[in-house]
Formats: sequence, C-alpha cells, structure tokens
Amino acid sequence: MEKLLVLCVDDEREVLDSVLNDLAPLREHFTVDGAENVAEAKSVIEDYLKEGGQLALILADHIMPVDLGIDFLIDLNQQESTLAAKKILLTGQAELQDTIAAINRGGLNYYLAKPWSSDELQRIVKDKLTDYVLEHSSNPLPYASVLDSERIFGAVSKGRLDVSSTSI
Amino acid sequence: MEEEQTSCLLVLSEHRLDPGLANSAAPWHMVQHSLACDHQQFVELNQQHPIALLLLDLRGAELEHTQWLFELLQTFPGDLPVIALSDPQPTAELLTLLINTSNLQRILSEPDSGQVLDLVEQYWPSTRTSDSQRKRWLEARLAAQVSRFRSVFFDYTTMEDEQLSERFISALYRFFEDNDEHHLCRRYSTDHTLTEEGQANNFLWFIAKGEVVLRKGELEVARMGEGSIVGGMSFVTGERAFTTGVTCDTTDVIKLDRPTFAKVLDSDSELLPMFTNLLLRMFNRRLQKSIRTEVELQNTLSSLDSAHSQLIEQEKMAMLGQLIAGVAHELNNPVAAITRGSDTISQQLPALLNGSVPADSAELGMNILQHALSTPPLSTAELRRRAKEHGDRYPNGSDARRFVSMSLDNDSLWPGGKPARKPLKSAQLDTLEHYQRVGGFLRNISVCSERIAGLVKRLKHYAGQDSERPVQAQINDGIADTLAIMENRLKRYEYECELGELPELHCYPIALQQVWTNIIANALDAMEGGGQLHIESRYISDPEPVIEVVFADNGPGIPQEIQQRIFELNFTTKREGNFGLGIGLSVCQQIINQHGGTISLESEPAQGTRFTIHLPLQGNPLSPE
Repeated sequence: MEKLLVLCVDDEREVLDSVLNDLAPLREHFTVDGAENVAEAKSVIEDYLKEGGQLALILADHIMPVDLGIDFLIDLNQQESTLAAKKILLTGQAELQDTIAAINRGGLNYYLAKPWSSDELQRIVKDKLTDYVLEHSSNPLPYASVLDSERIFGAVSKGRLDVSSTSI
Repeated sequence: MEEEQTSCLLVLSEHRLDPGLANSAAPWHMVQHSLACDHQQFVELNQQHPIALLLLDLRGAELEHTQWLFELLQTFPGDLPVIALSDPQPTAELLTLLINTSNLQRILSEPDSGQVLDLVEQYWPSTRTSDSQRKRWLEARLAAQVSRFRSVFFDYTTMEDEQLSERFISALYRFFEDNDEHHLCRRYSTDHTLTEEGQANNFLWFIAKGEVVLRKGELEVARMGEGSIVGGMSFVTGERAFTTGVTCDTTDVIKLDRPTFAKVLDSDSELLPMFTNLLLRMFNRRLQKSIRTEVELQNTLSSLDSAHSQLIEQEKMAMLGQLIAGVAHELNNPVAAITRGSDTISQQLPALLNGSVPADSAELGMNILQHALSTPPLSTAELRRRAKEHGDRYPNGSDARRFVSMSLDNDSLWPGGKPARKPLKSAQLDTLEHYQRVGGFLRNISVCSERIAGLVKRLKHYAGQDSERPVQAQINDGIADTLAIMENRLKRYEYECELGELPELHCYPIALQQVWTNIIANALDAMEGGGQLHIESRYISDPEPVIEVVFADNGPGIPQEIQQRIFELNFTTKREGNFGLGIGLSVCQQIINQHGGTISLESEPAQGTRFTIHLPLQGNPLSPE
C-alpha cells in the first residue's frame, strides 16, 4: 500500500487543529499532517516524497503570511511530483479573481468556505481522495473503509470485469 | 400785557385776489376793503390792526373816488409802503399821483394771481412792521426754509432710485437745454471708455440712457444702467478710478467736470440735496452689493468647508467599509475554530464520561487534558521533529505524532512522573486522545473567543467617533488598534513594530487612527505582492517634546516629481476600487495639522518610502469641525 499524504496548511493554529481533528479518521490509511505556513508545507512534502510517499491531497488556507494559498496550489500543480494531488482551498476570503485563476490553471479541485461543517469537510475530502486513489493507486480496495466505499467497490469490480474481458 | 396786534395788510380792491393773501398762516393780517372807503374807516382800521402794507388795486378805479386816499397817504404818519395794481395802460396822471403822494414800492400792471402774493411776500415785512413781528417773521421764514430744505432732502425716501435719478437727470437736461455750448450732453457708441482703473478721473458721468460695465481687471464688477452715476467716487475723493467703465451699448451721458458741476448745483438749491441723496444711494447700493457678495462668499466658503468635512467622513467610511470586509474574514477563522471545537468536544465527551476509561488511563488523561488546556500546542514542525525522535518506539508515524502531541514525552504528565515502560498501544492512544482533544479544543475556544472579543473591541473603538474635545490618549494603542483591524491585509507582509514608551497625547485618537490606516494601506498597496513594513514610535524630548511615528516600507518608492503633490486633495495614483477614495493623504495631512504636527516623507526609488509624523506634546488640537 502506498504512503499517501494528506496535508493541511493554515497559519492559524486553532483552525489547523480543527481541520486535522476533522480529518483524524483518515489517519488509518493516510498520513495526516499539518503545516503552519507554505514554506513548512513545502518541506513536509519534500521530505515525504523523499521517503517514497505521494501527496494525495492538500487543503490550504488562502490568506497566509508571505505566500498565498492559491499561489501555492498553482505552484504544486506545476511540479510533476505533486501535479496529481487533489487541491482544496479552505478559506473565508479568497478574491473571486484569484479563485477563478486557480481553477483555470488547474490548481484547484474544490473551494470550501469557512466556517465549514465537519461533515461537509469530510465528505469533500473523502470524495477527492477517492478520486485520487482510483486514479493513482494500484490497489484502491483497502481505502474503501475510510473513503467512498461504493465508488471504490464499483470501480474495482468494473476493473476486474475489464481485466477479465480483456483476458478472454 | 396786551397782546401785540398783528400788522395788517390792507387790501383796497374791487376784485377777488389770490386767496393765499388771506391765508391765516401768513405773517400778516389781511383786511380787504373796497375803494369806497373813507378816511374815518381807514383810521379805525389802523387802530385795530396797525397797517404795515397797503395793496392798492386801482384796476378800473375812478381817480376821483380815491382822492381821499391819496390825501390821507400824504399825511399818514411813517410812510406806508404801497404796492399798486393797475390796468395794463395806467394813465400818466395816475402814476404821477401814486409816485408823488404815496410810498410806492412797486406797481404791477396786469398782474397774475400768483404774482401778487409773491410781491406781497417780497415786501413783507415792511418798514412799518414792528421789530418783534419782524423778528418772528424772520424766524418763521428761516424755519420754513429749513423745513423746506429738509423736506426736499428727506422727501426722497419715498422715491425709488429710478425716480430720483430721473428727476435729477431731467434737471440736468433742463439746465443744459439752451446752455450746452461744451456739448456735455453727449451720446457714446459701444466700447467707449469713461473711466480707466488706476487713472485719474475728473469727470462725473450721468447715464441717461444705455449701459456701462465696470470692470476691475478682467472681472466684471457691476453694470450701471439708466440713471446711474459713473466716476462718482473718484470725482468726489479725487482718488484714482477704482474701476474701468466702458459703454456696452449706445449710451447717452451727461459729462460734468468740477466747475460745471458746481455751476449746475448753484443754479438750483434743490439739486445739491438731490445729488447728495443720489450719490449716497449709489454708494449704499454698491456697499450693499459688496456686502451681499461677501455674505455669499462666506456661505460658499462654509458650504465648501462642510462639503470638505463630509468628504473626509466619506473617506473614512469608504476606508472602513473595506476594512470591515477584512475584519469579517478575520472573525471567520476564530468563529470556525470555535464551531469546530464545540462540535468536537461534544463528540468526545461521552467517551470520557461513560465510565469506560480505566482509572490509571483516566488520571493520565486528566493530566493530558489539563496540559492541553493550559499550554499552547507545539508548532507542527516541532511535533514532527519530536515524533521522529520517538520513531523507534512508535514505528507507526501517526501513533508517534499522537504520542508527542499529547506531550506524553513529557514525564511530568505521567502519574508519579513515571512514564510507561512499554510503548502505548494504538487503542490506549485513542482513549487518551479524547482527553487531549477536549483540553485542546477548550483552549482553542477560549483563545478564539478572546481574539474575537479583542477584535470587536478594537473595531468598536476604531469605527467610533471622536468626542468634540481632544482627549488624553496613548498613541501606541491607536497604532495597535489599527494593526489589529488591518491584520487581514497585513498577513501577507512582514511587519515589525517597535512601539516605544510614550506619554499620553492630547489628541483626537480616532482621527489619528485614520492617519495610521491610510499610511499603512498606502504602504501595502505600494508593496503589492509582499514586502516589509516597519512601524516605529518614540518620544523625543529635545528640542521640543514630540511623539514621532514612522512608517517605512520597502516598496517601489514615490517618484520625486510627485512627492510634492501626494498631499493634494485630488491627487491619486490609484484606480477606482482601490482603498478609500484616494484622498487619504490630504486627509492625513489635515488631521496632523489639526494636531499642530507635521507629516513628511522621504522616498528613494526602489528603496521604499518613509513617512515621519511629528505630534507636538504641548499642542492644542483644533476641533475637526
């Protein structure tokens, strides 16, 4: 099973802890980590990639000291190693223009407004992670317990059918 | 004492004469008698009312009937003055008789009715009038003259300007009717110059018809129409002409120099008071006009003032509106954290309270809760570092992180200070994590609530109104408030704040916050996309005690050529949609000036801009209104 990183970036520790707490159920199958700024996030990703992991999902605040969340997401999108990662902006205050730019440059998979509800956050993250494992995992089945099991089972069985049909 | 008899005017006439002669207000007592009078009657009359003047109407009279009279007059004591009225062609005989026998003063042939009265007035009082009566008559005459003069003068109050000037001008025309050898009544065509500003003027122009425009420099001062006087002031005072007067149409004027003017006034005693009145009115109208203009100017000025202070208020509101959006976002984060925190706590509590936690775990758990509640969490970087240190005992990265984030690597948390020898199992960590979450989120809620409360307090203060009088306030507080309100915008920049120890300042603190906000907002706009802002405050005691506040950015700087202009009201380099209304710096300068302070800037291209504000400690700020 792959080492998959779910990274949350928010300069406000209280917010970051809340997000991490909401995503705690994922810890079973993912490395769920937090960073308090973009620079730290970059080094966490770098370390993780070095250890052979992949960045599966990044959830970033927009307004942060020094670097903006959207710029960071676009930046990640321009690197081969992180291109595939699902990118969610969790913010109360991204300018509409910035957001549109991010979407157009493929840097954004979802925009989540603050304050968020735990259910919504978990649903979105699960959905995006499901996309990710279905697209990039050689064996998505184990993730079914924490992600969208229906879609994973469906995809797996369809895959088997496809495999069997080609093998015939 | 017997009252003195009024002297008598005896009229001997067969005709009806001017009723004015019998006027009771006349100084004489008139008695009329026919010529068929006799000596006896005459003497009796003279006894009742001493006869002072005899009006002898000989028109159509038979000489033989008046024989007695001439005899009597010849012997009448103290020559009785006589005025005689005669037929158009009096006979030589009559004239001889009159001249030789009476004290004949005047003979009037074919008299008009008015002429008789005039003549009597002219010869009254006669030599036979008593001194006291003569004196009384003189006094009455004088009083009448004065009152006539007065009435002429004051009569004008019932007249309109136009009537008065028309009357005067027609009097002038009358004067020049047969007498205008110098051609003083003349007609000018358009654009003829009457007076020239700053030049001597020796003439007085009466505008009979047409219009003259008075200009001072390029500015039109007045238009003088029919009946106006041009050149009045310089003519009267001898000063140089105040304005240039040019005809703006075909204009009829009467042009008077001083000698002519004097001659005109001499010709008619009514003209001087009329002219004086006219001139007074003219000057008064001009004065009223200039007072009205002055009042209008004052009104305009004060409405400009109020428009300006409205503009300042609008600038503040525009700025505030934009700040509020940032503040709302700023509130969003702690609100989100509180919402999430209380949700989490309500999820976690049942697990702690249902009695399923073993006693030893519960004690450790309570320590973890207390610690999480009272201690700020480790930074995420530090957590990772420590988790790595425990990687050998907790090969599962997630467990290692949980272990250190609960501060279980801190021995003092363990009951008796003794940590478990064996690594905790995942299930044990799950249980303890409930405690950590409750403690941590309780702490979050309290931290976030404080932040919200603080922000709201600062916002309340910031958005408030200054009281009408200046108050003692701490400048550093105002700067801190401003920074708090602008936190949202400042996040993307590095900023350092060196707020020195300051004495309180007698000031309008909220107005000053507007200054700080403007300067910071400008700096942030200038450093678009990131930069460093340095804010400094300090107290300088020498040479005069001032508070100095400095805002320095490392943006692109302000070009030399516009540095002088940035404090101008309408100067902005920003486009619409930028912060405030773009009148920020002029407002800043005003507010600082109100405080008796100065605002200056130094700027180097590509180096940044540095605003320095000095606020004198002994200043007495003016009211912003």
